[in-house]
Amino acid sequence: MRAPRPLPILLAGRARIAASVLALACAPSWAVLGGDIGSVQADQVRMKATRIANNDAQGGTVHEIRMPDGSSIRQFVNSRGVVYAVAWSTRLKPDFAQLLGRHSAEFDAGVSADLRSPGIKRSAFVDRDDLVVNSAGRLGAFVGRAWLKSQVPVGTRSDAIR
Amino acid sequence: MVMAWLCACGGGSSSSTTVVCKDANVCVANEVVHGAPSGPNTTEIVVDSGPPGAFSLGVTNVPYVTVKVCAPGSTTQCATVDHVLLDTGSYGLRLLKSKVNSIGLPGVAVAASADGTPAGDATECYAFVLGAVWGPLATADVHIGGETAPGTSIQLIDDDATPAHAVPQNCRDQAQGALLTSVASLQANGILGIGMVGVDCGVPCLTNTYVGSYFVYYSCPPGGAACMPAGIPATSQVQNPVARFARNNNGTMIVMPPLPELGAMVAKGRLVFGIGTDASGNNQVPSTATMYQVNTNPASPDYLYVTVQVGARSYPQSFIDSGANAQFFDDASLPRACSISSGAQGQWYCPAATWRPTATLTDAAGVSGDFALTVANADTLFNTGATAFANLAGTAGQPAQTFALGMPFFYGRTVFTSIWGQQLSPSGPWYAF
Repeated sequence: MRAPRPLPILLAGRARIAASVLALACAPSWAVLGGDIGSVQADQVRMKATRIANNDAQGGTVHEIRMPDGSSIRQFVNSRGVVYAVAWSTRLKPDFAQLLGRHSAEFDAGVSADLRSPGIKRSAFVDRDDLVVNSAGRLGAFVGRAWLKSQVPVGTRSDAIR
Repeated sequence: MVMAWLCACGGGSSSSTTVVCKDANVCVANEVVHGAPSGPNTTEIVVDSGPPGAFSLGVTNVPYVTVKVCAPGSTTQCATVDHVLLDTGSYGLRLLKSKVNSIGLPGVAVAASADGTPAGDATECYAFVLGAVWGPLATADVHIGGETAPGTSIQLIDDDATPAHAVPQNCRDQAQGALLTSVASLQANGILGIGMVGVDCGVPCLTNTYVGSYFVYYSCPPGGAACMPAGIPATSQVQNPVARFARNNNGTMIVMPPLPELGAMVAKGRLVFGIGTDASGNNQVPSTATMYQVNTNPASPDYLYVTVQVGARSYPQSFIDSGANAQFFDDASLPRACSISSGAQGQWYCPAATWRPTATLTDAAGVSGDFALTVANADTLFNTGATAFANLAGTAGQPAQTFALGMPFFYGRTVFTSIWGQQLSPSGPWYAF
């Protein structure tokens, strides 16, 4: 006999939200690269998530939103209250329109012609004008980060954004 | 032209090589074969120029297998599909719908539910980092080599000019402009996902909430009403067929031959099912291999990853992935000014001299081992016209924290990928090589 097969995600299922599709369709703009700290708080409510805020070395704060399945999104807020970077580690592909705001279109447009070649892709990136995005992984474990160069506090190491 | 003289070279009991030369200076292996092991729990892997329809697209380092699917319980209502991409980075079988249309596989029904989901056909938008596939689920007996996964949920990638159910905008957004709907865009007739998980989505797809993410599963009502996001029971979601075999179901072993510096026109190896399960011992982890547990802490940003270190650079979100056609990682010191790509910031690496660092792989428990990494000039490789390269590398974006140990990693190695939750000791998802 085969052993019973556990699900890949070991946490209990996420909370059910009635009529969630309609709710999402009507949701205000939330969570966004380049947005203000208010958008971070809206995220937490929207995602039924817990939020942890920590001070970083450059006088800003890091807000971590953790969803019931373990997915997490970290938003890095500078001393002016602007979300200058986001990092994600999520089971499903994050909705970039929600995560990157207006910069999601830049991400789509900026993915290089090389990456537009046929075949499946396990990494994608953009570095142009003010925007840097790295996106990688596979379903079950999508990871990435994005930041706005003009908003990153002086002295921030890129590997601290994760 | 790639022709001129041929010679038979190399050998050993299970490996063979023939060589073809463009001229006196550029000789490429015509075909490099590792033919063992054999047995009912094995099948051939071929890296070649791809299926008809993809030949003009410069297919590189794509491993293919042949899969047969039958209507459940039938031995006659069957379709054999070649050039299915063998992918250790995804879970589940996805075939172009046109390749199996004639056998009429039954779909998977979604019942209407209180959360607003209408009754309809289970349909999926399965995403890659870039690109996605759209199409209905179907139930099939899946035969690979001598193994059978009975009554298994697979996905049919809708390659009709007008899909049976219109592609939702949310799915187009998720594809980021790269909806894969053809042999040409997939470079394959389908994808066989045999990675370390038994089901393609799991808990996040049990309900239709999809908070903060794109939608994965949909219910598409008959009659043409719009598809609506849906939760799907785990047993109905697309299954890793290996986990559904009656035996040899706890993982896989991939063995590929080593390749010469300039690559090969064709490389052949073996896909072996099961780990330590075969009575003849054809899938035993050798005592010389090291086992690397992946991170299983769902709260960690490095969940389902291992760490690769090269020199001073650490890549904490790394994975072994036959579906990546090169080694993809960021190293700012490697030049990206290749003539193959668009400008100085292209995808590929083109060092003046082949770079041969020692890399270290470290697992979630701190176990580590070294391996040789080789990065040759991508222009030099592509100029040979070969399709299989053990030394092709590209960037994952700067400064990415991921290192995709892609198909080049598999040449000259035997790589084990265990399936999480299957009977195996030690249990848990791990790689060994």
